[in-house]
Amino acid sequence: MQALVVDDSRVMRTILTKLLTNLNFDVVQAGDGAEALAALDAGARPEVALVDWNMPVMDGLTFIKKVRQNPEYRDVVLMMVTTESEQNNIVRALAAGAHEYVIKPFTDEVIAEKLEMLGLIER
Amino acid sequence: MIDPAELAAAQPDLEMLLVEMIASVLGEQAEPTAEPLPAAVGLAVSRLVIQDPQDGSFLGVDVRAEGNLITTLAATLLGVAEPAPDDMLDVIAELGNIAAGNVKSLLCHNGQLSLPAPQLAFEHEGDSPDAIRAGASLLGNVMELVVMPLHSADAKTRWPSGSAQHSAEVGV
Repeated sequence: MQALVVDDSRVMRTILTKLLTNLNFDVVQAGDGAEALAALDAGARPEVALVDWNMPVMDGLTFIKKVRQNPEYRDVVLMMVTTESEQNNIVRALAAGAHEYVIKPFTDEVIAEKLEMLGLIER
Repeated sequence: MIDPAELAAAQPDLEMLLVEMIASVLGEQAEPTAEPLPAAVGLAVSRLVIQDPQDGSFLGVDVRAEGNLITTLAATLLGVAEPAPDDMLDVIAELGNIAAGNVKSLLCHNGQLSLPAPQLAFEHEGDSPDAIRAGASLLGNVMELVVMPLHSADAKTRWPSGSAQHSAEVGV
């Protein structure tokens, strides 16, 4: 299975990549929403994308909207992973098409639980 | 504008936030400390700004740590034997981002959070009298979280794509 990690922080991409690799995902990384869209346009077909909100070039909310607008990407499960923790932002992300929402800082267990709930892993 | 009394009352919450962030992100046990950062050592500093949409006021959020602590953390987090300055900047930037996001939830609901502006410095300028500091000790070093009202966002502040501030910056 493939996962796409979209975060402008190299540290966060490294942390999430390590976590997802341990859960048997092949991981593709992108530094912002535009890079992530380019990866999808180039043929990447991840089962799940973990997406930060605040990024330069293209933010995570815009990325999620664009992915949801394209029927080719309808099977990609979208998980927002962000420091934005206000209720209205969670509602905005879910309304835009995110399936799950994780607030930083998170533990490995939280991410694994969400992936399990989404039917992407079995433990 | 956040009331200075409200900011001061949040000090214990800021301390808890810092300790919990260190445990979650770095996997290290930290203890609250009133000990300041040592003078005249290399520092890594991450500054983020939160703008209140109601009145346009600004809150600055700094995470600061000794350079040797960030070097150790960068080696662990990024898996590199000898972290370069860019590695250290990445680490302090993300710590600042996580801390500031949580400060926003605590003190400035619905505020707009900037992107982190990290830097390596020999020392930092003194804080304003209304700055509130929380400190934590880990691995024999000190990390601190400082929250302070600002008159304006400084020139280094960058706003995320999609924010009103970014649109204003680029003239959209």
